[in-house]
Amino acid sequence: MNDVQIDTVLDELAAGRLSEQEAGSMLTGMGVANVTEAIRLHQAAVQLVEQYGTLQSIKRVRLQYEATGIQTAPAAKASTGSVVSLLARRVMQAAAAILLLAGAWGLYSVGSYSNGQMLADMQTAYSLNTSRAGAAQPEDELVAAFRAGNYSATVAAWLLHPAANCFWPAMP
Amino acid sequence: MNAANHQQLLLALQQPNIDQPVAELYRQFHPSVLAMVIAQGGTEEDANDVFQDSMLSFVQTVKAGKFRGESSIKTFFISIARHLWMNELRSRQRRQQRHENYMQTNDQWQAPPAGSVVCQSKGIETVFEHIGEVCRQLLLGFYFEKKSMRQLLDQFSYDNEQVLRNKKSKCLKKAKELLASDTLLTESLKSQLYHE
Repeated sequence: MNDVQIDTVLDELAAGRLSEQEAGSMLTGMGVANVTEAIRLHQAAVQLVEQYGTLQSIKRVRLQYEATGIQTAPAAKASTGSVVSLLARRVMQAAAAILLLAGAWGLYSVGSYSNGQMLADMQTAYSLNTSRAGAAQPEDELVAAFRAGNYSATVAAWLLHPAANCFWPAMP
Repeated sequence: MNAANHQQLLLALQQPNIDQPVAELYRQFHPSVLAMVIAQGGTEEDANDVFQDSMLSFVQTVKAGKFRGESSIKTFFISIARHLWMNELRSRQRRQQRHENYMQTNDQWQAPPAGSVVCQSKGIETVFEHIGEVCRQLLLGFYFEKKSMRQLLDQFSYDNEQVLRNKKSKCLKKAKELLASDTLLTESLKSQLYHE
């Protein structure tokens, strides 16, 4: 049995230049006892060499990658710390989602005003704030607006003028 | 990663020199695998080993034309890594169970050092540690770099192609013998060849 000839047939089979049937007949003619096992072992050996070559490339890149320290992100350093960090991130994400939902609801509410209502509310708020200095009891006007259900005017007033914060304790 | 980059990366992985696409995969997916392994009780070293074996498995799948693109590269890659890490965790649990069972009957037993990821790459490297440098270069040149015998003859100082073929055949025979002695590795390689 000539190993070189057998290998040549098996290489041709592995390269797809011979069918398994053709290779099988030739190998039988060369005296190979268990053709199927010979083919499988050869293919596994070729696979082994290919994987070793691939592994060397991966290891070269891995060394470079680890040397740069890119992968040691703070979030993934220590196991306990990373779990806490992961939880904190999840809580922050949940809070952000709730805020977004609240914002969306707020925008929806604003959008549901009748035509010009928002502008009117803003004007009311502006007049309340600008008249505050001269008015005897500007808070009363705001409380009255609040009691009349004109909530956006009171909120807008508070937003437009930080000093209007003092109205809130008077809110019913 | 868009579809064009996706295709480009898959094509690049089928070339003999894969350093560039492997670096790209490291850059894109290593942080996710690291976070996944650490969140599930592993260390950074475990994550690096799992990532390396996932990469090996992914590249071989692509080279063999078995990556059908039914999922994104990221989904596919991360699922390989998760699968490997789950296997490793199960293996560690079994080792721990055996240890506990043994401890009940033998107080003198000493615990082994903390295990690292049991991976196929270690078995592959062991084979190549035993076949020698010339065989390593020759087999890599022929089967991995796809060089012709003529090209290899220029690289190695042999008299003619026939002598080189004889040498290659001896090297491969040695590799087959070493492979046959590692049943787990042989079965793993065969299963990759004959199963989708």
